[in-house]
Amino acid sequence: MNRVENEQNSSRAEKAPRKEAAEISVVDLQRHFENYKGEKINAVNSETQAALQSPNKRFETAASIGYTSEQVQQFKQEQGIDKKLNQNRQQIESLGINARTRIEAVKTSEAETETPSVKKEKIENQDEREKIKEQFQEKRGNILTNFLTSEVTSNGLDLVPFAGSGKMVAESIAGKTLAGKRLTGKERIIHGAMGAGSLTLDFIGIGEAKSVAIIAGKSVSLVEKIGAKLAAKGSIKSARIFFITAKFMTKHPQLTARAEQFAEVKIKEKIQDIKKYRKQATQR
Amino acid sequence: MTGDEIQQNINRIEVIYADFQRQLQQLRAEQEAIISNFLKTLEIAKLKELRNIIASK
Repeated sequence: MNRVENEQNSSRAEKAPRKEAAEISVVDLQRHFENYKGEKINAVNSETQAALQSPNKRFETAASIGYTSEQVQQFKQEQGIDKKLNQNRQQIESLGINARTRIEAVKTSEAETETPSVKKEKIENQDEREKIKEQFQEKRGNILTNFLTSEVTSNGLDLVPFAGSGKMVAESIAGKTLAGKRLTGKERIIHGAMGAGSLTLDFIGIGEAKSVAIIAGKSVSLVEKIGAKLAAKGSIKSARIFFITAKFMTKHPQLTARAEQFAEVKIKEKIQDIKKYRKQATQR
Repeated sequence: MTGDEIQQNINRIEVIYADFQRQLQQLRAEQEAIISNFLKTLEIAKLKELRNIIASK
């Protein structure tokens, strides 16, 4: 055995007791936790019971004033004291049950926390997240509609990720760039698909675009949705252009699919650049 | 589960228990108010009764 191996073995031997000590301390802590939990559950039970029995003792003092228990009972009924105390009693009982359940739900191991109710809660949380995401997308859609109906038409817009996407869609629909360069049929679809894809990135969140299809099969519905939003806002002329473009894309599915495929590759290539750009923009 | 996580769970129970005590105290105060008012009414009624007895003699 050489010197290096010897050193490694002695190092392992030194580490072993430390690991054991750490395990013991975790076991101790778990035991302490279980004891503490038991103590608190007992305390909740006894304090709840004490609070529930308290009124009976207090009413016993009425005897010292000179009333019989029957008379006290009659007065209580007349003044609705029983009803008030019953409500209070129910609140105390449910408070005790609730506190006990909450304490019991705090588990020592992660595996134990995966009860069916916890799983159900997780699923509900996922649904909730999806709803929030949809609402968020809706808001972004409105921002886009506002942008498209505004008079912002700067040539520098391509540099701004979100606005740039809208500009590209707008240019493809107009059939020429803002600089006046005419776009051919195929170019128009590619440009629109790129813009729509870029918009989709904005809609779904730039970080999540890696594993999903960005534009494939989505450009037509996206263009239609934007058209519907514009129509709802009263921009009938712009909305009509969107609908005609969507119709054109639907009529030429092969051309659209090829354009989408091309756009998909190009967009994915550009994602990293966009991410870098956004990172730099937020750091500024 | 690590020591830190166990400590966090202990803290969680502490918070739940403190919350329980606070709410229980509130409910007991409400309970006490109902009973005290009732006993006071009984006391007043008894005093009136005694006063009437004394007045009638």
